[in-house]
Amino acid sequence: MRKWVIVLLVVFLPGLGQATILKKGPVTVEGYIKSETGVYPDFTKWIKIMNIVDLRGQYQPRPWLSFYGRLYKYWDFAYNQEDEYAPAHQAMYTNRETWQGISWVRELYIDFFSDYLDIRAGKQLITWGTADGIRVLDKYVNPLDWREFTLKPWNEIKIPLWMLKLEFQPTLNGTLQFLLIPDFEPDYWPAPGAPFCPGIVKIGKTKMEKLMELSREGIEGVPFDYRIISEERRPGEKWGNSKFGIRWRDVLGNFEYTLNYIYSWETESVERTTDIDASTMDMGKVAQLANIMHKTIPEMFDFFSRNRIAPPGSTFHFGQRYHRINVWGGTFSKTFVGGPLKGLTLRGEFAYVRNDYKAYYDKKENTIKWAKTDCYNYVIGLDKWVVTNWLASFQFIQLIRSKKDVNGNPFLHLSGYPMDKVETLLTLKVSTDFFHERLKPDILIVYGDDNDWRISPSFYFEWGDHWTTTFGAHILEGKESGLHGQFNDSKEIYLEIKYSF
Amino acid sequence: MKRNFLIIALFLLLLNLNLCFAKGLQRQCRPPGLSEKPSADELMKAWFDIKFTRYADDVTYEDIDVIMIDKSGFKRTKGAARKRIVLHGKRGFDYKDVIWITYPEYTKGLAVLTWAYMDVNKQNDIWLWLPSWKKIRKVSQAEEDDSFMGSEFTVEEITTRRYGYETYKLIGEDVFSGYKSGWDGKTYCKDVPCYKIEGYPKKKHWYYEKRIVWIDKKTGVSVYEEYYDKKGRKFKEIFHYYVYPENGCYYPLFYEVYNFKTGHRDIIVMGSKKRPVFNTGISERFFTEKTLGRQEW
Repeated sequence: MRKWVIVLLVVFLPGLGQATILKKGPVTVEGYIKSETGVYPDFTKWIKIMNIVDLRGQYQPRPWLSFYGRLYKYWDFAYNQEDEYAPAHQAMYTNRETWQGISWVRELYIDFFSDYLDIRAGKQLITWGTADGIRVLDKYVNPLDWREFTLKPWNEIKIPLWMLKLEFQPTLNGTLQFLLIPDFEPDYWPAPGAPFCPGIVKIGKTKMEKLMELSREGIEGVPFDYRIISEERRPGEKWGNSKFGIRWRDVLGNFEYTLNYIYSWETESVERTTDIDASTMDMGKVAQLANIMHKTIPEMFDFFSRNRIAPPGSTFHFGQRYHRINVWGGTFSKTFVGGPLKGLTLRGEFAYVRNDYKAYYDKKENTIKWAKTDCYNYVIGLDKWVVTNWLASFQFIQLIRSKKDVNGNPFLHLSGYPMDKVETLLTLKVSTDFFHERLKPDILIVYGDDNDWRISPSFYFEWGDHWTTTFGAHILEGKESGLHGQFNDSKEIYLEIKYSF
Repeated sequence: MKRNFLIIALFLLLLNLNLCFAKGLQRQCRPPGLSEKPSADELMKAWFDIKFTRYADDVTYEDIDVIMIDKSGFKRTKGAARKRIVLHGKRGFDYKDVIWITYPEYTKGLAVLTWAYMDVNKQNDIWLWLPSWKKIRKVSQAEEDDSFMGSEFTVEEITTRRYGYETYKLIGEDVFSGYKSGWDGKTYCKDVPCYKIEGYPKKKHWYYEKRIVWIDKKTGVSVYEEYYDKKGRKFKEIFHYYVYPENGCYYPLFYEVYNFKTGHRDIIVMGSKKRPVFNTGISERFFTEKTLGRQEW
């Protein structure tokens, strides 16, 4: 039924040619239909073939009261076209549980506005921070859908949550924001086989494949037939498991700052747990194996122990354990409105995360584990208009952990490779416009200190009041161990065609 | 009983007096009239006050259309809404302003908060609401010769040019022959007696060498402006059409610009569908980032 509704919308709405599908008194309904196609630069592989429908409605009976809803749905046909995506297609597009956070209803909330207090309650997106291209404070509020890595605007890939936002304005320019987020969603990671599946997820997949092979094939022709149980173990739905955030923002002259605190959950680097219940072992198979290998039963158990193999018939409980974290931080922005630095904006963002959980590779046990470490992340940015309408924006970013390693085992990057205690990134964005702002080219360059690159040029053009197109590329270069280099095979050139109504 | 009655009566009397007194002090919604023989500076200062509604406390424009027509006749439209509060030098502020783009859908939601200062040498403080990132970004003032919303108007012409940016010279008086609008084909302001003023930008190497401003002798409104380049060629003209209600505030109906070099014509229509409203008591608290954060789009 839903598919037919969408087909009807796609067929009939463009033909209406109206500026807005509906605007009558306090009711406004608008939206867009978009096609996004991405292909590997040598045209040998699809990266995405997406069709998107986005519909938004607002009912504002009074200036101080508003109801807003946004529906957002997409289909990515690349997963039907490319054989290498088949395993991901199965996991991502047919497993309904995986889609819990990614529903049709993207935003749905009620607003109350007043001079002293604004209230927004419902499913929404909140943004903290001033950084571009990276989330320092922001990542602890709304989780992220990593299906296209970080290549899309945050508005499209952040996962909205049900929450209450209060914004109290006790002074003229000072506001105190309070967030109560009882909803829980983890970051969404693409399954192995997807174009932007990170290396650390692939490591997990490789280990799982080896386990399944052992389960099927066993040793000496005796299959081990393990029982595999996967449980997500989300935090229970109770008020005590909510996220609580608070932010103070104020302006002093040309200097603006925020102070932030959030009691959150670590949802990006989630601890994976493996519990083995050997009480379900199949003694018959143990005896069979012992007979074949000319060992006694105790010698067989010793063999299993030395080789870190669970006995046949054991039950594996794979789970995810979410940890609470405390995040303190702040931002600042200063625009120089006079003097030699006139026109320059200096901005910064900082986050201290206490007892964050990060993955590391335990060489002795040949497995990935998680350990606590404090993290200090910051960004310093400079923005300036140069030569009339060219805007240049530069950022210096550092991600620092209090521990370099755990007993000599370094922490792991998203790529699955060791990461340094201090990771440094530089970004540069240059944007401008031509033809009376109809053509807007820009380029974003991100450089990681391990010679890791991302270069994303794009050309946006407005054809008229309804049609826009964007042509661009994401060039991801570097070693396989790098944040961007791991996606060497997923660099793309893309075209977006959008019809707005 | 009698004493209580007298106290109540006195209270009511004082309350009424207070209300009448307050009403009497309510800011007038019209600019002060021009003197008999005004100087160039007086005229340009008066026009600056009219353009930025500095004679009022606040103004709201609910339906602004920016219509852009290129030389082939291809037309694009952007919609916007605007609110401004005039602070008359309070804490060094001239005014605070919020403008939202309301149309088309793909730019809807973009909002700009501006704080302008009395000191002409001090740039405005500006915050942008970026819908695709759902975040507020503090930016420096765009270069003032940059295009305003993609039109032929510059940022300076619409938002930032202050009295004091130029030197002025009164070059005479003339009767304006009228302006035929490319927007609706009508001729406006025919036979309006005007003062003519030359304005020279103080900035070096600016996008114009001089401009000639035609000021309506009766109202102080700049009806027409001619822009000249270094070679003395007129390359741009701007027309302002205002409405002068008998018992209300002056308000602009539309501004129109034509660039002779590019053949582009752009019109900002401000009072056609909905008249702007003045002095509604908008709180200064409205002109903060909290308001930008209210954007749904």
